[in-house]
Order: sequence, then structure tokens, then C-alpha cells
Amino acid sequence: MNKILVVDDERALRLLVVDTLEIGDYEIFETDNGIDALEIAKNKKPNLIILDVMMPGMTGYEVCEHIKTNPDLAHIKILILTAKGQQADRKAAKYALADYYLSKPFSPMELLLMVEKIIED
Amino acid sequence: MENEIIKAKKQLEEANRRLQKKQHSLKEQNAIIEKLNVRLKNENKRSQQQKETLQAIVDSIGAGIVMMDLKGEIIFINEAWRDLFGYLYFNKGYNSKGNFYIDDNIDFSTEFFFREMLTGMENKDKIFNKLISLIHDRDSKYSVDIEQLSPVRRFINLYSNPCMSHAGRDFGRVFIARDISHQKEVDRLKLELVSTVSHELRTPMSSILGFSELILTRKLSKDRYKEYVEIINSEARRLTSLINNFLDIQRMESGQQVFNKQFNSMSQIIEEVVRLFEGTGDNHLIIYNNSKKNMPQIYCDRDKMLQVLSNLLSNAIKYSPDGGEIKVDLTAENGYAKVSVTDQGLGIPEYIKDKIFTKFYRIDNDKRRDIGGTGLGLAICKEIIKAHGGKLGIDSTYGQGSTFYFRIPLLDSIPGDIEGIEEICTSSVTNNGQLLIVEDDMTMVKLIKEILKNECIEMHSVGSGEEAIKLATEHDYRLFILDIVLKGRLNGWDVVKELKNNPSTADIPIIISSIYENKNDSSCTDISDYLVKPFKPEQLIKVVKKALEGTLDSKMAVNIDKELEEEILLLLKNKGMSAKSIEHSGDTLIITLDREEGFFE
Repeated sequence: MNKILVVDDERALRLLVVDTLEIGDYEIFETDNGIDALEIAKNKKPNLIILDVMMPGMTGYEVCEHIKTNPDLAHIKILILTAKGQQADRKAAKYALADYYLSKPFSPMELLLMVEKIIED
Repeated sequence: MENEIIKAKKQLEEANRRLQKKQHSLKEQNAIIEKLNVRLKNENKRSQQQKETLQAIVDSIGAGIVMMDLKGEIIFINEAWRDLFGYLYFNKGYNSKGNFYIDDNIDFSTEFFFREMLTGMENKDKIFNKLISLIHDRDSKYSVDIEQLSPVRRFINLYSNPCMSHAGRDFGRVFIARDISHQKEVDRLKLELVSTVSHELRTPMSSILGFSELILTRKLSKDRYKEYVEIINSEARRLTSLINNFLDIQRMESGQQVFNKQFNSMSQIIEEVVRLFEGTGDNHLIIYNNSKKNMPQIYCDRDKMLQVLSNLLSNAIKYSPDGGEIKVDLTAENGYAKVSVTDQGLGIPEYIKDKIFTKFYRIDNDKRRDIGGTGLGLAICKEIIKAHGGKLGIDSTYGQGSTFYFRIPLLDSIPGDIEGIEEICTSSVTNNGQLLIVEDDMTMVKLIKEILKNECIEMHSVGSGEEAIKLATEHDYRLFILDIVLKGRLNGWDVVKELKNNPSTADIPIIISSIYENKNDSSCTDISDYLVKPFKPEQLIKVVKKALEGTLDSKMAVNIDKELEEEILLLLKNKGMSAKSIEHSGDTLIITLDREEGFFE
């Protein structure tokens, strides 16, 4: 079964992502901070992590870097949710080694399709 | 023999004449040379002064200036440049201070000069090549912002222009270097703010759009449906609040916010806010001890003060999640009114105390993450208090609660830049004043109360003269507003007489408000003002303000023919009174007198 980890400090947004993905056949884990996210990633080895960028404590980019530089976890796909949507931030997202990005606000439909495609690959 | 002597004499005379002529000519030449000398000295002096002036200008520009001649050699380096790059070793080769040009025997190449200058800077090779290419370039301008990493961290702007005189004479090229670190920091902060605002706005939008789309595209249980709609609603509110707050603060920061400042009772404002928050916090007890009597009124925008206090109280409640006491205090110290709000909550760590007033700043750690809010509240409070000439501050120990306080200067008079207020009031007024409306028409009473509601004065009303006199002895009124026609036996004038006869009430100003015009000029000196109904609200406010603030003016309302106006004025003049202003209201002439203190006993 495909596992997805959702990381976002905003409760409403987390709910949105989790509920959106509900109709797919995924096992979904969620957390509101980067440190717990790394723990869950190590234990559960999800296929995909959906990651918000602006979080207190460890930012999404930092989580991304930790995952990608860890040989055990580097295979995990990362989709970054960015709210800034500016050119500079897309570059930063690429630099931070994320695999995909999606800017907020996004259409749940778009998210679902994107996730399906990522999992398929 | 004689002929020879005569000849010799003639020759001598001739020689003498020629000598004298020569001497004369020499003298003239000397004089000319002297003149030229003086002129030369003056020219020298002027030239020296000009040189000094130019030197001073070049040295005080605050930008480093380097001059390169047509051959591509550096011929001039100013003080500021040496200051900017003082750490470079070729400094030792420079001329001492005060000299305009570099020593001719200094030997360094222009390339060396540029290389040295660019040490520690980003992209130095690219810039070096560009600078070298400029040496023989007579036309191009060049400007570049460079980030320097060592030995100092800063941003430098390097700018170069060909150096040409007005007459078109080519002198070479000039290079100018400026430290622009400050500007870069300002730009960075602006960019960061845009980023943050963008994020703060998009986040609630994500919920609103996302959940509404789910509602539209999926079949949902009733509970789910309700949950989603609630989220949409609350996020929409949050977004609205954010937009409003943000626009508020931008307006305030750019000085475009209009403040409606008047003298207000801060105590009353505090009481109003405390009432508002009563019962909102669970486990919170809000205490305001209003023991300070005779607190002077404070010159402020009432609504904005309410906003500040609401924000501080709201924060106090939010950030003491375990409940507790919230104390509000009002004191006067050193010419300032100080208001403080103390909670027993989470407290604020030392290193955050400055940051906490910046836009969107929210302290993040486990306990606080769910507290919410826009992060703009304190930033707005800071702007409001600043616009009142005051300061906002914190006393806090992490883990033991916080006190947020602000100080506003106490003013004796309204500052001159207020429109709409003509009279300058000069004394501080005590708050909690009371006034008595003596009027039998309830509609009129309501109207007067409505008009005066912002004057921070407590209003009582009675319908008859008898009641008025009775209350006047029981209460410490600051003002009476009196109609002439009243219930009971007494009319307005009787009340005036009674009040003036009683030493404890004799000095309290009285305003008559009547449908009749004033035919009774013997009572003129007893009343502060006479308003004929219907009067405009602004008139009443103006007249009440004047009465409360102890104006030295005295008004006379005289019912006369217009032709007698001049005679009246003459009469007044003979009695030593002069008219400050004259108004006509129907058949009534209202004269405002220049009154000396104590003139009317």
C-alpha cells in the first residue's frame, strides 16, 4: 500500500490535503512539524511526502534537505507546497532538491492528479 | 671756452632730463609691477581657496572618488575612498592627508589598483575585466552593486563615468564607490514583507478554495459538509481581518492615517474595553482599579485607543491560556499618562522583546502555535501610540507573565494643527465631570445627550427649576444647560438667579437654550452663552467646550435694532470693554467681549 506523509502546521490545510487524498488508496500519516516528520519518514518510509514550506522550527526546505541527503530516505518523493509562488521560490524549491512543487492556493483536483501520477512512477 | 661750458651744461641738462624721464618711467613700471604683484597674490589666494573648497567638497561627499587620466593612470584618490578601502596595503603609498594629488613617484598600475580593490568581493573577475575595458573607453557609463564578503560584509555600489568638462575637454574617467548596505537591507526587508504577506494571504485562501471545491465535486456526509463550511467561514474572516489590519498598518506607516484627536477620559475608555472583554476569557479575571481621581483628560483618538486597549487585553487573554488575573492600570507620571496591562501567562523571552512589535511576528513554540492571530496587532498598536507621541513597551519574564504598557504625553492645550477647533483651551479638565440639563422637553433632552455624547461628561436631566436647584446642591456640576420654560413655578431665569445667589453654585457656567431670543439683558453677565433653538449641534458642542474649559470670554446677547449697534459698541468702549467679535442672529446682536480676569465679579 502506498504511504503518504502530510506535513503542514496549519490544521485546516492539513485537513484539506488529507481529505482530498482520502478517496485514493493510500495510507496517510500527518504531522504539524518538521522534526516529527523526519521521525515518521524514518519509521514508516512513505512513498511521498507532501510538505509545506513555511513552518516554525524546521522549514519545509530543511526537512527536504535532510531527507534527500540521507541515503536511506533519499528515494522518497517530495512535493513541496509553496505559498509564495514567485520565481525565486521555485528556484529555491529546485535547489532544495524537492521533486515537485505546487503553489497555494491549489485545486484539490490538481493535487489528487499530481499525487496519482507521482505514485504511479 | 664759454661755449663749451654752455654746451656741457646743456648736455648735462639734457642728460638730467632724460634721466628724470627714465626714472619716471621706471617708477611707472614699478607701479605696474606692484599692481601685477598684488593681482597675482590675489589670484593665488583665490586659487588656493578654490582648491581648498574643491578639496573639501570632494572629501565630504561621502563617496569614494578615484580619478583616472586619459593615459589610464590613477591620478587622484579622495579621503572617503581611503576610508572605504583603508584595509588595503597600498594605502601606505598614498600622499598624506590634505594633498590633492597622489605623489608622482608612487608606482602602482591601474590593474593592480583594481585587483586590490576587488578582493573579497563577489564576481570580482567579471567586474575586474569590465573595469579594465573602461580604461580606454571614452563614452560608456557603468554601475554595479557588489556584495563584499571579506574582510568586511557589506554592499558597495561602483559607478564610473567619463570625465569631461563643460567645454568638452576630456580629462579621463572617474570612479565612485558608495557603501549601500543600508539600502540593500531596506530592500531585503521590503521583499521579505511581500513574501510574508503573500504567504499570509494565500494560506486562508487555500482553505477557502480547496474546501469549497471539495464541496462542489464530492458527495459529502452532513457532518463533513458542515465542517468544511465552518472552516471556509472562519478562514474568510481571518482573511478579512488580515487584509484590514494590513491596510491599516500600511496607512499608518505612510502617515496617511487621519486621527481624530480630542481630550478624552482614558479611565472611561479603559472601563469600556474591560466591559467588552468581561466574560470572554475562561478562567480570566480582568481588574481595573479606577481609584485615580483627578486624572487629567488625555488628548487622543478615542477609537484608536479603544483599538490599542482591545488588542492588549485580547493578547493578555490569549497568551495566558491557564487563566489568571489580568490587571489594567492607569497612572500619571512625569507629564505622561501610562496605561499598563499585566497578565500571568506565558511571558516573553528577552531576545524577542524587540521583534515582537514587527509585522506578522508571532512567537512560535509548542504552546503558542495554535493561538492564532494575524501577527499584526502589536505592530498596529505601536503605530497608533507613535502617532500620539508616545511609546509602547514590555516588561516580561519568560514563564511568569507579561506587562504591556504605553505612555502618552499629557498636553495642556490642543496642538495648533487641528482643524475645526477655533478656540484654544488652556486648562486641563478633570474627568468624570457632570452636567445638568434642565429641560422639560424629553426629545430635547435626548438630542442634547446625543450631541454631547463624545464630550466625556456625565449628563443628568430634570424638568423643573425646583429639582434643578435641589440637585445643584447635592452634586458637583461643572455646567448647567437651562431652558427658560420649565415645569413647576420657576422659569429658567429664576433658576439662574438662585444659582448665582448660592456661593457654592455661583461660579458654575450656565448655558441657556431657549426658543425665545434673549430680551433680558440685565442677566447677560450671569450666563456663559445663550443658544436659540433650533441650534446646530456644532454650536452646542462649541459652547459647552468653552464653558467647561473656563474660557475668559463673555458674551452679551442684546436685542436691538441694527442702527444702534454702533452706539452700543461706543458705550462698551467707554466702560472699558472691547468687543472681540460680533454676530447677528435674527434681531439679536451677540457680542463676545475681551474679558479680563476678575473683571466681572
